[in-house]
Amino acid sequence: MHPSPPEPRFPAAPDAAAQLQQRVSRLLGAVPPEQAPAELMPRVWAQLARRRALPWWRRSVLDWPLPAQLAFLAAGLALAAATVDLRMRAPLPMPTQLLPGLHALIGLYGVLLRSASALLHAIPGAWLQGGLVLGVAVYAALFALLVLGHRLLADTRTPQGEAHH
Amino acid sequence: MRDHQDRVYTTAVRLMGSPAQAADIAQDTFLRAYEHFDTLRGNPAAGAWLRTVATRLALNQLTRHQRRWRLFSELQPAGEEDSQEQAIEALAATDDLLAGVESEELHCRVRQALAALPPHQRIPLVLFHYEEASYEQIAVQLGVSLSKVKTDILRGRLALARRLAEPADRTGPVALAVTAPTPAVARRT
Repeated sequence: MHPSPPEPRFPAAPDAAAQLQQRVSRLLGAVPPEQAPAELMPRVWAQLARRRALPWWRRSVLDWPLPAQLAFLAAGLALAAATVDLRMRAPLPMPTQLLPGLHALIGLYGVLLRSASALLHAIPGAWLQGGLVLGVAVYAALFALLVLGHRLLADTRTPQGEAHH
Repeated sequence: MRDHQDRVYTTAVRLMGSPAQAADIAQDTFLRAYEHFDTLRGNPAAGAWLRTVATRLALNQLTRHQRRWRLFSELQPAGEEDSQEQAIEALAATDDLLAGVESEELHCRVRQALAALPPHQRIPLVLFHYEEASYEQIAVQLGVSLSKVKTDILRGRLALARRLAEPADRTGPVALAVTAPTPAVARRT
């Protein structure tokens, strides 16, 4: 290991930022690696042991036995095919028998949609336009407020009162 | 193995600035390594792979909760017009430090000063100086603009220099004792 020759005293280089980069590089590069805590590897082994103790179906799918992975894949494909089939054949009596909750949910969605549509038609157009303009204005004001707050917060959190601007 | 542990932990602690979080990152890194044990065993590139994974995990954790603020931080002005003057001041303040660049005390102060930087300055600074990433690579990794990376790195260097220029007793003995250096000294000058 050869000691580096002493750096010329400042000011020497015209580009102080480039010289600062070199100096910081030297200072940071001289710092040796840190020692990992002694309990790091025991923690890793313990975590691995915990994982191994889990039943296969609670691990990642990639760690499942091959037959289970294939069965899972087949089940997924069957579910996807059934969903596509359900969409193609509407109205379909069988799914509503199988999934009465889903049927009720779709009905409720339709009712809500119709109610919202009726409500919108009942409101005068000028009111809607005014509300839209107001919404945009409030959004812009809140956005500006957040930016201002963030700048103030960032400035106060900067160490040593370092100037951002 | 011990060398890998130290390097992975060091990568993580430099990025995270916290020994506890760094230990978690290092643990996750070795758990990932175990999943690729057959590939990594005896592989000379294992060390680089481990450091890359540690860096990625650390960045994931650091940026997870900061995405929503990215837009606002991007809106901050660059403010580089006075950087040359500030760099001159920082250089003058750290002019005598290089004489003691081999000293353990200075190493501890550098570690402490680095950890004390705000994440948006520390992370790009570490990626640039320790992981040898270019400005462009850092911008991609962090998902920010190139100009922000350059500004943050410059401000990070200035802040680091200012902290190092402070009297040693202001750094505090507790923090100095936290990070004991290993006997093996690896240099990147």
